Amino acid sequence: MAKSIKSAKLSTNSLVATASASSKPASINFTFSSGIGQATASLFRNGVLINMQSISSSGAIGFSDVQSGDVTAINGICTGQAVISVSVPTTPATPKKFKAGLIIGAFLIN
Amino acid sequence: MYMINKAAAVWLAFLLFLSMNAKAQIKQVPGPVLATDSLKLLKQAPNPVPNPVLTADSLATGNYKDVLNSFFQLGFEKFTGPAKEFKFTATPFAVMAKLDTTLLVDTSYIRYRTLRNLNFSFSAKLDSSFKFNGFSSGIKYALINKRDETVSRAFVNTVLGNVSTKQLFALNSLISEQISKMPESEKSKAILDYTDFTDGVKNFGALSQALQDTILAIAGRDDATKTLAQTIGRNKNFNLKKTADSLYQDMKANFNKNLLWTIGISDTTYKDEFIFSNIVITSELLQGLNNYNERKNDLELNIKTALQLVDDSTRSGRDLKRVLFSFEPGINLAFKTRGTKKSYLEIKFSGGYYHNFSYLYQDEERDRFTMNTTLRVRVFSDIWIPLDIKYDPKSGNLFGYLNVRANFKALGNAAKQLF
Repeated sequence: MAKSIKSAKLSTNSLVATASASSKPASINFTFSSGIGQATASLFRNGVLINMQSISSSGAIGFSDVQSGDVTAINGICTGQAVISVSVPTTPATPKKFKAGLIIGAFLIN
Repeated sequence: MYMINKAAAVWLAFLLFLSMNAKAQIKQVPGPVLATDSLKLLKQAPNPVPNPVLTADSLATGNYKDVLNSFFQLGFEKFTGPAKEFKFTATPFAVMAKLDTTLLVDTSYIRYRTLRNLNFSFSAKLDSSFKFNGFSSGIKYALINKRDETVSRAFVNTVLGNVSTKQLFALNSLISEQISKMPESEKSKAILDYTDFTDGVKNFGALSQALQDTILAIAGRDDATKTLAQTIGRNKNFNLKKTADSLYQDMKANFNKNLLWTIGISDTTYKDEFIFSNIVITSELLQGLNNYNERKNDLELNIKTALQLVDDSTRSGRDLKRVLFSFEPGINLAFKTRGTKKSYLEIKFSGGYYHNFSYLYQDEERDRFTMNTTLRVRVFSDIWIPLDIKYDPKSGNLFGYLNVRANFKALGNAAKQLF
């Protein structure tokens, strides 16, 4: 019998992206080299998309409110190399390098 | 008159031996399995092996790298003939990036497209006794270079617009969303397991049963990922990284068949005096003739035109009054391995038309036709040995030259120093 990972209990409050005592700003830095790149970072909290931003050259995406337990998904492409660095502690740890190709990654905010 | 000497014959035998050896070596490297536009079942090893790094340089045909070099190339040309040449080719950008690696960051990199499309070369010519026989230099510029995917927004948009790419991105978003709503105690374990999947460290079947079930359930109920879920469900050896790499390499291989047109000028000096003995103005065009297909070998149109100004030896003194024109249209056929998609052997068939605009030497014809063949063998990843053979059907003359060319991925190594 298939056994799926359990979801956390959802409540009305858990679905709302409100600041809390543990809220902090975070930036995701992208450095594309030996070519160009493009990426989109999506921030999920308790199964809800609360922020999504794209970048098409080296620079940073800023999330004004991240909390422990949030997950950010990174989808993109680099034609040379890319290095992604999140300004707050994450699992897996950053910076993380990507070679030419698709960028597919996810980081849990610690 | 046969100008292919005994040494050339020995080299040819050596070259064929190396060709077989190189082919065997390349085949041993486990490469990504190609996927076409729709994701298909991939026959992958149960224990994934890291993919070989496939770069523009390693995948490019030898013919392409001879027409326009990306980084550095060292060549020892015509070393079986009486006039040998030791040649160094580079782009100004490669030299600059060696000194300042921040130039490789995209915001600077895209500004130097012109310099990356420019090749310069220096060579020392040697006689049969390996004594200095003149100095040569040249520049070449790509008037049209539609092959450089590293700065092409059109290429980026093609990849991002691909149906399979969208499915992989949608899966990543769905799984990230799912992990964000797991109980706190399970999140770290799940994200690390999932990261092993996205990095290609683990095949789908090696993930925890809970994560496997989650991926299939989540992907299976979303229209954007339903096809992908079916593919993964049928294949426990599905490797997300290999699949993503294969998609990208397919699209890059297709892009690298686009038009490349270069023009150039080169000169040679006398060995005893720094004045030109030879000036050559060239034009070279490359265009892929077939769409990329993992099972098909690559066909490429290659048209060379040159106007050569040389010393007319019938006149006293040194001049550049002998003007020769050549036109060589040809087809380059690249044989590649199935696994790594690298071409290991290339054969170029071309015709040659030569016209002399100036005074004819004794027994010389104003117009001449030849049939040419160039055999290129990749002996190592970035070292090619081209053998040029020209046949004049009218006179029955056969000419042969053996060269060695090595490309250096200096930019790739320089980029490593950035971080």
